[in-house]
Amino acid sequence: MGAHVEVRRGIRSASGRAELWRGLRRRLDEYSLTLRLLLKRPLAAAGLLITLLYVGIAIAASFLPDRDVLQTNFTTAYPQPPWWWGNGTPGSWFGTTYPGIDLGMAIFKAIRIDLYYSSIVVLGGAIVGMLVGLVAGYKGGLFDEGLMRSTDVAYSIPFLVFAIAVAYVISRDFTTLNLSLLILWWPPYARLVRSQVLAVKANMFVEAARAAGASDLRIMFRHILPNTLAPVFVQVSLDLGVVIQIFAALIFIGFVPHSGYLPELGALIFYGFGSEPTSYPWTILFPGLALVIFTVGVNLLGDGLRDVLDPRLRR
Amino acid sequence: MRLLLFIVRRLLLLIPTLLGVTLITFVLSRAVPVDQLVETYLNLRSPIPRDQQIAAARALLHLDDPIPVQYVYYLGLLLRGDWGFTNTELYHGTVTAALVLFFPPTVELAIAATFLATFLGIPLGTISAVRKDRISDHVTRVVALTGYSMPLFWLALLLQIFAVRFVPSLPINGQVSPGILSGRAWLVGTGVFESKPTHFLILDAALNGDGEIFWNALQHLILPTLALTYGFLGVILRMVRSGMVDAMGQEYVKTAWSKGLPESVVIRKHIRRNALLPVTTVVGLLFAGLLGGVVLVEDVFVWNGIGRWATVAIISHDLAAILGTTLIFALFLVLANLVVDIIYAYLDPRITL
Repeated sequence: MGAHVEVRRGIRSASGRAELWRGLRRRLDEYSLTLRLLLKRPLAAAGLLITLLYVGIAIAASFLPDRDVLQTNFTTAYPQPPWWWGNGTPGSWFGTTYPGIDLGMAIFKAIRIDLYYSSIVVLGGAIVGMLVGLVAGYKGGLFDEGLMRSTDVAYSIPFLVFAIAVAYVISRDFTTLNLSLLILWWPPYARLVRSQVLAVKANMFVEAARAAGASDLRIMFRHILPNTLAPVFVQVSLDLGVVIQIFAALIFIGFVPHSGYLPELGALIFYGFGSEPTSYPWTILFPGLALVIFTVGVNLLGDGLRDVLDPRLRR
Repeated sequence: MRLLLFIVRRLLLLIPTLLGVTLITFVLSRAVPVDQLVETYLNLRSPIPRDQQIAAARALLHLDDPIPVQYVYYLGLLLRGDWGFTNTELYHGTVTAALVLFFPPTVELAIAATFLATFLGIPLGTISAVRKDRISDHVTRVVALTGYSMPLFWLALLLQIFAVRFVPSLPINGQVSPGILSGRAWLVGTGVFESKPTHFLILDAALNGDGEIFWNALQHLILPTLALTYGFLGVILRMVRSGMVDAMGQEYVKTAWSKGLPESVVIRKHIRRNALLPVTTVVGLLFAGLLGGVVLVEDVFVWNGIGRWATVAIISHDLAAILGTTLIFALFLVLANLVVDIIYAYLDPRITL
């Protein structure tokens, strides 16, 4: 009797592995189709390119030594224009900002920090929100009701002000800032996934899976979750642009105390702001442009993904 | 009747939201060390000795009671308008008095920007949708995309640089030029103004028939309004465009075309009216969101509203002001949500709660 059970278990695991492999193949085919469809749209392709470029810069910037950024030279403490600005410094592509920071290098470093922190907030929020939304949508009942009320509350709190208050009360540093943004970032994802789950749950294949004896966990993660991911991808790419701006804004108003030099785009704009931007426009122009280009990029990518992932337009 | 029922149910739903919001601010206020919390209820300029004030504040906050009881007393304090004392370079006094003083300039700015963004956004969005994928559509979409991809404080700085270079007569910061202020009975203060009777500077200038201040304040409003408008135009544009493009594919629109109705009637009455429904939501929420976005723009333009007060409070470690701002913004957003929902239910008979 025992041997029989073992044989059966062996068969099941073997078929499970084949099934997994087939599933992976199918999913990979699906992703490459998405990529091909995305690249056919010039704007979406541009968005993808910009996003990848920024990720590349962020990775490369971790290998840049810090000493290249600070070129403090007190004989010329005023910001120096780039070489093409008109009587600019030869060899400097983006000029310098107060106090003697090489702007190009600093922007590269800043992109790394900004990208790192904002992706933690967005991805963390997406994962937490996805799990909560999945359970709430699938189980329903009191948990669902409680969740919807708490997202109501989260929606009625202006996140900029809230992040300020939370981090102010706990501690004014990057990690706390991140956590406080995270607290407000998951509810939209929970709502999004919940509404998707409610739609997917009504499908025949979920009924079939349940009839075949699949557990709740298996139904939730194998049958429902993969069908709810498309709008989450879109939202993640759009949100990256929003969070990076909030981050820069909070640093700009002096939320995280820093003196002298912090390679962060908002801080760089702040240094330019402090050094009479009307006389040295490039000191605020370039860090801001770095933010704008990234946000435009992820927005184009998000819009493109929205179109491409829409099953009605797919084939 | 149906609408009345909707409003009553919506008001009932407001209770858990309000409790949740106040619970959050309560937890925040209790997360700081007790001494700091007590400090927010001390009036540094009062002749009463500090020890007595501390004892009074502890009694007021009921700090010796269990936490849930403290929450009830906290709600009582909020309802009575006892929000503590703020002590920044901008204002010394109670938080509620500060809010009364700093809220009007912010609302002034938000109203101006909401109006401008809506009145530009709806026609431009219509053009963009009607001429889909043509050059005017592309131009509008680029405007929209850059609008919401831009950090507002950065845009504000660029506008200032631009104004200094090319329009030197335009004031780049403040609400009114300090040189023309003296000798007016209805206007008190130099940096932070207290104008009678409404606290809205421009409105009060008009009410008091003061043309000089009126024009001057209006000129000061231009740059901050432009910065905010450009940022929020994009959201409205995008909404109007996508709503109209969706509506264009509907059967009733095809019917309208096939009846031989003139183009302007189909576009205005059949397509746009339906597309504008979601726009009302966005405009309402935008107005509330603007109050948040205003924080940074106010800082750059030295516009003494709630946002600048909050920024100054952060730098000068003023907890009472920060908690007060959080609460007032949250309450405002809750209220805006309520108004938007009611308007929506009024406009769209299909909505039920």
